[in-house]
Amino acid sequence: MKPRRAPNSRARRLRRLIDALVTLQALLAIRRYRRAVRASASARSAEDSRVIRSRSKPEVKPLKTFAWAWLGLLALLAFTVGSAFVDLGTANTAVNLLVSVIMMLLLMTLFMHESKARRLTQLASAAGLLWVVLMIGLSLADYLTRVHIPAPWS
Amino acid sequence: MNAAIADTPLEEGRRAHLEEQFDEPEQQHSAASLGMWIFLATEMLFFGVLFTSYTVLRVLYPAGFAEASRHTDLLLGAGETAALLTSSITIVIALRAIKLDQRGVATSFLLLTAALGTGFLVIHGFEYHSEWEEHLVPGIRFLQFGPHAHAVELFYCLSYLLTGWHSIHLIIAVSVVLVLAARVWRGAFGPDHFTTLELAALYWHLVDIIWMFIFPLLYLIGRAPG
Repeated sequence: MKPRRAPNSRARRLRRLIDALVTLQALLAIRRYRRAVRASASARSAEDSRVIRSRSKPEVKPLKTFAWAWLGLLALLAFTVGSAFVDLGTANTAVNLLVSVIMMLLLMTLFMHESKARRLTQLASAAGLLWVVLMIGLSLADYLTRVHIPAPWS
Repeated sequence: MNAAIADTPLEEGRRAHLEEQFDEPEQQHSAASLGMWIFLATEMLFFGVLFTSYTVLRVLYPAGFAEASRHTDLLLGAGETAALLTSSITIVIALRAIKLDQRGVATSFLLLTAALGTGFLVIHGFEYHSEWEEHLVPGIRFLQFGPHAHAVELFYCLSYLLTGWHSIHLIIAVSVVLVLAARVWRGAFGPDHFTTLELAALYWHLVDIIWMFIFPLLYLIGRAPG
């Protein structure tokens, strides 16, 4: 009998250990679940209060911002026109285009809500710009690397 | 939870303008602006093709393009640009006014925006007229001599495509803004309902941004002495 009991009790102990582990796991799972529920509830209420705050009144910028943006745009226009009369070689066009990009970014960030837009919306606008850059870049990669071979009769 | 949000009259107004396929006013707004931005991206591609043609031809005929650009009227071009830049500010002031429930201010600034856009088109009409007089219209009335005559003709082909399509876009934008001005005056929009106006402003800005690039490329090259 004795030699038989030993494996039995060992098996029982093993089963008890497994039971304990399962219980512990279940307890931990419940705690985790509760913690997750609590966390999401608090996140939701934080979100709600943010939404309530944003819903209480539509956000508006002060009129001063509009005035400065207008003056800024006109100053950039004056600068780009003025720079065209200074001989900078090919850099003339680079300066003009740089000013245009600054004007565009000014409008996009201040008035087209791009900085606060959702990522998906930002992606849509960035994709448009990216494809134009790709189209011009790849076309130039062709034309700028072509070797002009005159026809024999010319 | 939602009862607390729906308490404010503003929120009730927002919910009244909620289409049935959306859960929240925010969701409706972000779906609308995403749709508009996808449309604007296709517009960028549309003009991108013309800008690409411009780039390639200018690389091939730098001297001809510089000569052709000197035929354009820089003063009128800069005036048009200033009008369009100003109109981009007036339309956002109109949007601000509608958010603050100032219907009269919004209507007058929308009318001012439309007037500036129309002013742009009128000045551009004068430019087209003087180009007609100077025999600079390719295919119909073109008479230029010199080694770069062919490149000048190509420049003006592109110039008419760029400015012509831009003007068509501006005519559409002016019409949209006029219709919206009438609707704002009748009280169709308010602090709880202005997405349509916001999207129209986005389109207006895009038309302005495209001109920001057309202007230096057509009017400002070959101006430096020497």
